[in-house]
Order: sequence, then C-alpha cells, then structure tokens
Amino acid sequence: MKYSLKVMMSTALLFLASQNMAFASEKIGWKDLVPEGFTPPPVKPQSYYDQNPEEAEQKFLDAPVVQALDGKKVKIPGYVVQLEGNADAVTEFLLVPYFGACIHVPPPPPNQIIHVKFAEGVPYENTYDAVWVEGTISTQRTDSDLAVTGYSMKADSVTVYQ
Amino acid sequence: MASAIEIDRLAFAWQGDQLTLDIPHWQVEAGETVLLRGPSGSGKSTLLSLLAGINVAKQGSVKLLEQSLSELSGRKRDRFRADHIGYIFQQFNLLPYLSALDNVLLATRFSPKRRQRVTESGQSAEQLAIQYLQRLGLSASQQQQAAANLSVGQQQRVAAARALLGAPELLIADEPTSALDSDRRDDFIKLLLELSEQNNTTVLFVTHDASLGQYFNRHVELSDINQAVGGSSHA
Amino acid sequence: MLKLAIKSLANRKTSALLTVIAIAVSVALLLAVERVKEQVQANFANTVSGTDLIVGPRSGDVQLLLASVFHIGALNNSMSWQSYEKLSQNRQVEWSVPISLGDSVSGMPVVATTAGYFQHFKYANQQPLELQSGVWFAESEQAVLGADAAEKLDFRVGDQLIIAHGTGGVSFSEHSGHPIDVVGILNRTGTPVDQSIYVDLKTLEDIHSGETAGEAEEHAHGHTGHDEHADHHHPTSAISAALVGLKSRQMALFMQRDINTADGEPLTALMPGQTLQQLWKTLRVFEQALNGISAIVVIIGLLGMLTILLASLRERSREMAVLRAVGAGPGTLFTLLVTEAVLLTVVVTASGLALLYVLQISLAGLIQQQTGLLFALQWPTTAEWWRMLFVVVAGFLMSLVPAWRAYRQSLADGLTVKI
Repeated sequence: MKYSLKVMMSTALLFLASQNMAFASEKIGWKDLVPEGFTPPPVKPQSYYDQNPEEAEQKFLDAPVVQALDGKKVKIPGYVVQLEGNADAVTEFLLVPYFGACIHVPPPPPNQIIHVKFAEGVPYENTYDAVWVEGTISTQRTDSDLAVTGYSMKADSVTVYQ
Repeated sequence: MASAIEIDRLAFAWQGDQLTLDIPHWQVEAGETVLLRGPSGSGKSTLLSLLAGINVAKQGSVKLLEQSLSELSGRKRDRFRADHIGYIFQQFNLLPYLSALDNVLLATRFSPKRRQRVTESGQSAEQLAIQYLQRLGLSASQQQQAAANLSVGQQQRVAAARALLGAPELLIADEPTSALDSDRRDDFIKLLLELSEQNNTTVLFVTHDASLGQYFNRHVELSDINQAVGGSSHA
Repeated sequence: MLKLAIKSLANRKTSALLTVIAIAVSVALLLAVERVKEQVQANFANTVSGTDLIVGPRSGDVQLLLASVFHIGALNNSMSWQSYEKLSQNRQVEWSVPISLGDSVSGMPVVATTAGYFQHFKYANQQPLELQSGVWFAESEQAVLGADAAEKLDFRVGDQLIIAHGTGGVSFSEHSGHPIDVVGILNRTGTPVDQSIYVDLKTLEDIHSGETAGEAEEHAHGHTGHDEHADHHHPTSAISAALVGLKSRQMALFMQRDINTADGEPLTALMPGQTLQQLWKTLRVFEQALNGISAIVVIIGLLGMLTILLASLRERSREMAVLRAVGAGPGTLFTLLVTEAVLLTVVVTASGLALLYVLQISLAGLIQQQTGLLFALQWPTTAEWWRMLFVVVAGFLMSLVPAWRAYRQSLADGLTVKI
C-alpha cells in the first residue's frame, strides 16, 4: 500500500516538473534584445540631436532586433508605461528598461521597448515600480522604412519585481 | 441506599489560614429532604459552592453520588452540575430576555443526559416543561412571557421547574422562599417537594427560617456539622 | 448559542441600536472612500482610448490632459496652427485631430474640432463614437451634441443654439448673431463626451472674428491669390490641443521627447495612459490618507461598542451566575459574549453597506448631471469585501476583552448573588 503511494507521488511530481519545464520561460535582460556585435553609431551629445532632430530620429530608428527571439517564451523585468487601461488595471503598455524622462538621457530606442498586451491587466498599484513580464515575445518585420521594427509581447503574467 | 452527598474531613479556607469550613463528616442519603440552617456568614454559601462544584476543596473530600468532585476538572464539574444538580437561587433565577418556557429548557441545554432522561419518559423536553409549569400554576400565556415580566413568585416557580426538569439526582435550593410572602412560601415548598419526590430527587434546602423544618426529613444546623465557626462537633 | 446571543442583544435594544447606527455610518464612510475611488478611476480610465499623444501649449501633463479630454480646468495659452500642421505632417503620425476649447452653452463645454474627431476618437476599449440621430457636422455653423448635453438643454436635431463665451454657467457675452444648427446627437458614452457640444473649428473662428458665415467665405476667397498655402484650409490661427495617433505605438516615447524638446513654439506632448498613471499615483496619497482616517473612525466606533459591552458586564453578572448554575462553563460565557459582539458587528457592517447603496442610488443622478461621472450600481467589489471583513475581524478582536473579563468574572463570582 505504502509502496504504490510512493510510486504515484513520484509520478505526479515528475509530471508536474515536466509541465513546468515545457512552459518555463527564459529569463532575459534588456541587453539580449540588442543583437550581438551590433555597434550603434557614435553617440553625439543630446544638444546635437536637439539641433538636428532628423538625425536623432534616424539614429533612433536604426535599432535592429534579434530575430531569434521571435516566438520565444521569455521573462523580463522592466517599467510599465500605460497605453490602455480600464478601471483598475493597465491592459496595454510599453515595457521599458528605466523610468523617468530625464532630459540628459534619450528615450529608449525601439529595440529597448516592448509593446505588451495583457488583457487580464496589471493593477495600477503594481505599475509604480518594476515588474516581471512573462510571455511570448515576437519581432515585427516591416518593409517600409517609415515604420518601426520592434518587439511586441503577449503577456501571460505580470508580477511585481522583488 | 446510596449516599447523595458525602463529606469527609473537609477543610476549606478562602484566603490564608482562617478556615471557613471544617467538617469532619457529613452524609445525606439519596431521596432525603434536608433543611440546612445557619446564619449568614456561617459558611453556607461556601458549602453550597463546593457542593455545586464551583469551587474545589484542597483538603478532604466532597463526594456527590459517590463521585469525588476534586477528581474532576473544571469542565467535567460543569458537566456534572448540568447532569446531576438542579440549583435555585434566592432571586433572579432567570434570564430576563428568555421566556419562562425557554428558561426551563435551559436545564437540558447543557446536559445531554438530562435531555435523554426526558425523552425516555416518552415526551419532548418542551412538553414536559409545559407540564411542570402548568403544575406550578403558570398559564399558557405566562409560559411564553419574557421572564422579566413575571412576578417574583412566578419566577421562583419557573426556577423550580427548571431545577427539576430531567430528574437530576440532587436539588440545591439556596433560600428560595426568602423573597416570597408567607402564603406563597408554603405552597411553593409543597409543590417543590411533591415534584422532587416523583423523581426521588435528594433535596438540600438552605434557609434561615427554622419553622420550615416541618416539611423536611431532616433539620441540620450548619454549626452542628461545621467546626470552623466555633460550634460543637456533633455528627 | 446564536439564538441566545440574539435574544440577549434584543434585550438591550436601545444601547445596541445606538451603537449600530454610529458604527454603520463610519463603515459606510470606509466603503465609500473605496467605491468613489473605483468609480472615478473607472470613469477616467474609460474616457480616452487609442490616442497615442495629446499635444498642446507648454503646460503640466495633468493639466493638459484634464483640460483637453475631461474639460476640467482651463489652458491659459494656445498652440499655433503652424505647429499643428507641422505635427500632422510628421512621418510618424498616422492621424491627428485639432481641438479648440473655451466656449460653452449653458455651462456645457463647446469643443471645436474637425470630422477627424468623429473618425478617430475612441473611448473605453477602443470604442468609436456613434450617433443616435443625425450626422456629424460638415460645415460651419453646425453642431453635434453629446447625449447629456442634448438631454439637459432639451435639444433635438433641427434645433438651434447660441454659443456663449467662456465656460461659466451664465455668460454675459453671447454670440447671438450666430445661431448654430444642431445636426446630430451622439450615443451615451459615460465619458465627458456626453456633456460636450461639437462644432467645426471654422465656426468658432467665425464667431470670434465677428463675421457672419457669408462674409467669412468671401474673405477666404480673397486671400487665395497670394497665399502660398492656398490649398490648405486655414480654419483658425490657434488651437487648444491636438489628439495624435501614431503609425507605431512604440514611437510614442520618442515622439513625446521630440516634441517636448523641439525648437520653436514651446509645446507639451503627453501620453494619455502614462499621464493617467501618474494621476493615480498622486491621488493614491490622498486615497491612503482618507482610508487611514475612515479606518480610524470605524475603530473608534468599535471601541464605543467595546465600552458598552464592558459596562454591561457588571449588570449581567447575575445572568452569568444563572448560566453557571445550569452547567455552562466559563468558556461558554466567553463564547456567548464573542458571538454577541460579532453578531452586532455583522449587523453594523451590513447596515453600513445598505446605507452606502441608499446614498449612491439617491445621489447618482445628481453626480452624473454635475460631473458626467457615471456611478454604476454593482455588487460590492473584492476590495470592499476586504474592508467589511476588516470591520468584522476588528469587532471580533475587540470582543475578546469583555469576553475574557466575563470568563474571569464568572470564575471568581461562582454562584454568589451580587446585587
């Protein structure tokens, strides 16, 4: 009796572990969103871009994505910038690596922004600090040089970053 | 015949060394009706609280129905009291917000044993309670009245019904007639003893009024059995 | 036990009743703080959707958002048409809609804009605007009314209205020379759109320049010859703000920075979602303060209940002795008192909730009229249940004190008559 109970329990545990592995997301950092070996054009001081906004925009758009990440399940921490929301939660947002719009720091380029959709919603209280976003990331391909390539994600869960 | 109450070498003091009770031996047989007399302050209340199992004697033994009370835990003593003892106070016996009937039914609320004895007789607790109240002279409407609205005499009768419902072996009445006028007093005692006899209940009736001795089997002066108050030790 | 507790409480009806009323009101307050916050948040959150940026003259984010979308407060300067044109031509911009504010009809805000507003403005979950009757305005001197505006002012398609200068309820400067035709009425949205009156930019321009419609057209034709931008319809020289939709939502951060730091006319670009986030963060401080205060008020009320329970113990010592005599243990008395207190607290909480609903139902209409906020009737939310649980648990914890006293007292008193 006891033996068969042990067998059942170990089978159950193994099963659960395998499920976990199948759905395990890979933890990535913001650096992983930028292709290796990609050397961004030399950074000029912000004042230069203030005077040449077209160049700033081009530099900004010149941000390649890592195609290999397309369709992968990942987990990445960041800050929530709301796009859409309802009474208690944010349902669509941009995930960025840092908060605040300091004048001296340019906004994150498109390969450092993830456009996240999360129907369940992140409660507003959780968006004041960093969060973990877990879900399937995809890279957008576009032909037009006007449109921006970037990352989007369908989130499975968004939890407070500890 | 089994003894209902048996006290042996009882010594009890509330505080310090001053003994309130010092009883070498006292016994009451089952079915006896005893009038216990003593002035206030002579240790009557103390003795009753020991008999009811509220307090426990550290020295000596107090046995009720052959059960030594000091052997029982607090909860068990509460249960024992519920099962085997009916208690009547001098006044304010009832919960004012319950009806007379509900007050009587309190007797079986904390004692499954008493409930069982009632149902064994073939009636429900409620039916038997109504019967008792009727016998004690309360009309149907009075039975449903909140206890606070009844007269003192009526309240004491309700208390009697409650004390006897479910046939407890021992009835302790602590000056139950002191608040009644003399007419009602006699009627009350007669009814009480009549109902007790039906169930062979042992009655311990405490009072300061010696003239009531006529109704009871025995008349005991507390000072006779209790040495602590300086009385002579007569068995 | 429950029956006993109920009867016992009923016996002391008066003191119980007073306690109930006092605490019920404070419970209603505690719940109201949460409910108001939820409803306000819901209303605000549902007001704008699908708009990536709102651009206006340099001002605070929250101020610009409140003024342009919620018609709360005012903007004290304006954005030039040139800046707007430049913005709308930016290659990242998919659509843009200019709006102009400042006038009103009987206190209801007039929003001067274009057909683009009807096309692109969305609310709640990407819901577009819909007309319940009529059409969107096509030319000058026509207006479309929000559902509440039409109802309150009692206008239907075909009626005429007069625009007044300023946003006050009564204006001493009306443009009575320019009656406006009501050509459409919008479906209810539950947002400030319902209170608004929409007209073409040109309408406002014409009214303010003091010309009639006919004269303005002639005037425009006169300019066509020597104006470079002759093809462009220059409806106005300045607007209050512009709603912008981008080709790619990720560009919002960049565009926001770009506009905010550009040379030329000082402008502010905000992301509505982000700004609302900031607004909630700010309001959270007030919300927490209010929560703290109302929680304290509830506790004070419960302390009052505690005092009454404790005081009653003395007069109930007889009751306790009687119960002991019939075999109730001190533990039973403890339980009886706790049950009474918890029962009382539950009644109090339920009354508080009922009171809140009564208030909500009776005031909802007034609130909607005055502010446009729809306070929806619904079952209590999780947060509200938690608060109610808090009250009951607090009551329970408080009851442990008199219950313990009763326990000890009954042990000490025994069966002694203590009158």
